[in-house]
Amino acid sequence: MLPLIETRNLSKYFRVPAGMLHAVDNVSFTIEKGKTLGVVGESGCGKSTLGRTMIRLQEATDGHILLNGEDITHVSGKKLKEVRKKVQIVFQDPYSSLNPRQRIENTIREPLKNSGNYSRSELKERASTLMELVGIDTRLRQSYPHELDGGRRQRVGIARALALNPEFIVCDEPVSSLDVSIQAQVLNLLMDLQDQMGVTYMFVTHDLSVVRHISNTICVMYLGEVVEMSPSKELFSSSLHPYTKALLSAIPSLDIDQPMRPLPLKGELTSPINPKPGCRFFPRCPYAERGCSQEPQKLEEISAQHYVACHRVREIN
Amino acid sequence: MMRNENNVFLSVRDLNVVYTSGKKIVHAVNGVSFEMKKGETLGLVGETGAGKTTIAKSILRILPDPPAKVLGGEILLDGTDLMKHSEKEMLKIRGEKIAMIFQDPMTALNPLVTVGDQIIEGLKLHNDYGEAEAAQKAKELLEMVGIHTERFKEYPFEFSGGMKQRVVIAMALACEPELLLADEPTTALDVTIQAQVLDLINKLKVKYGTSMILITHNLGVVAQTCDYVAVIYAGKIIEYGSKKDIFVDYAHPYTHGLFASLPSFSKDAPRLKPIAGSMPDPTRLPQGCAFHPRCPFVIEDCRNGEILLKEISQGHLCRCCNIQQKG
Amino acid sequence: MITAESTSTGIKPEKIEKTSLLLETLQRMVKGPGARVGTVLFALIVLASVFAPLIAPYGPNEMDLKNMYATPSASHLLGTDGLGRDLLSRLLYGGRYSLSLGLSAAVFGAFVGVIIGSIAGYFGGKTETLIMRLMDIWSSLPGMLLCILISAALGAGFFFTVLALAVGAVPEAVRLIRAQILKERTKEYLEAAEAINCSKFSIMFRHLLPNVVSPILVMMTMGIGMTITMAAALSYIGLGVQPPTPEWGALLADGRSHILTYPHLIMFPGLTIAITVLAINLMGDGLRDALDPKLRS
Repeated sequence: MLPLIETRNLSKYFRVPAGMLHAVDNVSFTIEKGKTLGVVGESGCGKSTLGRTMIRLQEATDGHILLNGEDITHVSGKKLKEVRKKVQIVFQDPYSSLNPRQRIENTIREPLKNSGNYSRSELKERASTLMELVGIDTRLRQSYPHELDGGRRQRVGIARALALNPEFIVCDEPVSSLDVSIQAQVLNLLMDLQDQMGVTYMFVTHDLSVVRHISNTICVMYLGEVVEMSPSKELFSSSLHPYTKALLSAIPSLDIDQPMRPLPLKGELTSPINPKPGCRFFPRCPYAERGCSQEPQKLEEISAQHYVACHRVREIN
Repeated sequence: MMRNENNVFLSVRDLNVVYTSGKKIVHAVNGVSFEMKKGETLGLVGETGAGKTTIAKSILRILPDPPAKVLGGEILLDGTDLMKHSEKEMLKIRGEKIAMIFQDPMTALNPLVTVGDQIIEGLKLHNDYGEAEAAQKAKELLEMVGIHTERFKEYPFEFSGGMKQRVVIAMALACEPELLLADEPTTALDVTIQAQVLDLINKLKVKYGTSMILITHNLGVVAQTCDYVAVIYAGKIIEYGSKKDIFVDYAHPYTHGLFASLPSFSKDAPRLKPIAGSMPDPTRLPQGCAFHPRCPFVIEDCRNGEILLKEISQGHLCRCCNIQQKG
Repeated sequence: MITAESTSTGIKPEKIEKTSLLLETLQRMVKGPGARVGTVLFALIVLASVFAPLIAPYGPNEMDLKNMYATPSASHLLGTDGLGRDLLSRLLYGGRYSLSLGLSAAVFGAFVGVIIGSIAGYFGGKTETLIMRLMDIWSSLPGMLLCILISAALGAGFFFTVLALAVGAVPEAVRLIRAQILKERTKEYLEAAEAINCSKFSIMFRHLLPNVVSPILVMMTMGIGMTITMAAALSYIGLGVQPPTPEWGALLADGRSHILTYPHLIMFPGLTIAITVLAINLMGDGLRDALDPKLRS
């Protein structure tokens, strides 16, 4: 079956005064219709840039993005507008992702207005439907964002993303700014919407418990590269890459009888500007040896659907 | 009060704080009382707007007045009531006896002053150090928090988030305070850096015997660092106990809700169990129990009157009419 | 259908009132005592000028040759000038010119500045650099001098005077709005607008601009005081509006040679200008506080 969305060697570089910043480097994966790919990593790993590149808010430096088999990497003009109707994004910060001076009804209607196909009454009706779909009281339609709490604001952002019935939505840390009890509400909403509407997600986050719950497949990123990718549950039960292990061991456990034993990582994140060849995790890896800094690490399928980019993977595990 | 023991180091009694904004009054802290022994770590857990930061800032008396107003309460540090201190006396306490670490390391440091100078400033304020002596002590502090002493003359913008937070910790511990208030110290940090910083805080606590109040909404962090936990909701402590009381034998429906709404690493549930509704408007708190509109176990008694904190087992308190003790 | 139980917020808000950002801002603006005084005073001055034909005891050019250079009395509350014209009436009518000159110039200057600044800020790159360097050149010429030169070159008349007065304000407005745009440009709601297929024009004017325009409003309000003073200065040196127009600066000019003998001729116009500018500045302060997002919470 043709995957809904596919990336092939996708790269995004930015020119900065110090050189070339490799935000996303050579990323390839597929996502099937109705499924969720979780993308995890810490600051500077490129996950947000990846999301924005995939929906064409940024233009890729290299590689390809295919939507339903069609290459959308460099389309522009009318074709880009058509593509934008099918791919959408929900942002992290419910405070800055809504226009503070726009009433939420207008925010939700705007994608429909831009498509130019709807009459005034249709717009109003569609906005109401969307508000009900995401669980906002329609009596709040004339509110300004600052009058609503974080959870409701995020729902507005979700309604806006759903307005044109997109096939693919990038969720960029959609619950990270919300309180714990509200997070669960919004996550349930996203999953229900997926069940109801068959929408495909790419869920970007740094929160590993959340990503485990919502994703079918997870890919772990470090400094612009994918270091491990596997079905969701398997990543947690048998992580293979040293970085994934370090990441999982660093999560503070709720089990008070189990003290944390985080895998010690040396030093700090290295710079994504003009990266050296070889493994980017090398300076911090507890299993590093000399060969690691010379050879670029390629994603290798170690077990079914489980890919790792580490040439020492078999020795370590 | 909570525990009838003698070496009580910090005692907060009946703290009440409001914020006035025009005609509206925000009831931020509504009658909070707790005690701490020396060397203990107390976790204040709650969601945004629960009042945790206000409690910490009240102890240090750094709440801006207006709009904040402390309506009443006592804060006894080693027997003396901080509420009755003059500003001059408080200046001696801040930084020296009580220090605070804030959430955002990006804005906690002065961008125009080198890191070394910022630590020295605190040292010289509370001690009679000369310039050279203070510089030496500052370098030792940097080393203690895991920063190369060569970075003494660098500016904050040259440090990453995690490193900045270490500098902040070094500054806070410079005068070996007896009490450390940490307001979401690792929330803005990556999870691997968080692990390092928590480890650092734990080690330093042991080394200096510092008592600590850790404010956070992350239950995992609480489990790994705190001895006692107070769960705050709408400006009141609704459950208090040892780590075991709260993580294993929790009783209050809100605490239940918090744990239930967390996605688990071990169990697989198709849908999460969130707490319905959202935090109440602090200018219009519900009658009776502030949680009752959202509570799945609500009964008639919950809607009226003052709900008191009751001891449900040794040292474990809960403010609820319909306690749902787990296990 | 998604059920309300575990996904919605559950609690129904009791009463939902439709709010208006404009109304809220105006309410906040008149909270402080200074702002209240300033606003009321300014409103009174404007109303007095608008209704001058109804209030003024005499016409602005009505000469009473038996009462030239009269000091304030019951029949001429503020005295008369060298041609027996009632000073109070001339001030009231003069307000129409001074205020409209001042207001038009401030608004026009801000408007032009906002357009240019928005283009610079939003498009960035070479466009921005070019525009900012032009502004640097523009602002290196002293404002008053520029105003005088343009007024002298274009000649007399209302529109040309407005132009001359507005010119000095443009670079400041451009810089201000560009700085605001730089701060706002990275906000996610602008990215969101792009993702939902808003045109660049729509993003700039419907999303970006309303959120950066507040400091300009404050600058513009304070600027009215400046432009009124400059209009007065132009008239004082004989440029701008021409006699017998009772513009306040012209009235000042008329009285300058009699400063020692008939001080009321220079005192009252001077006071009027001063009080008007004070009122506007108080109002502007209130507006700035009202629009400050930090003071809002």
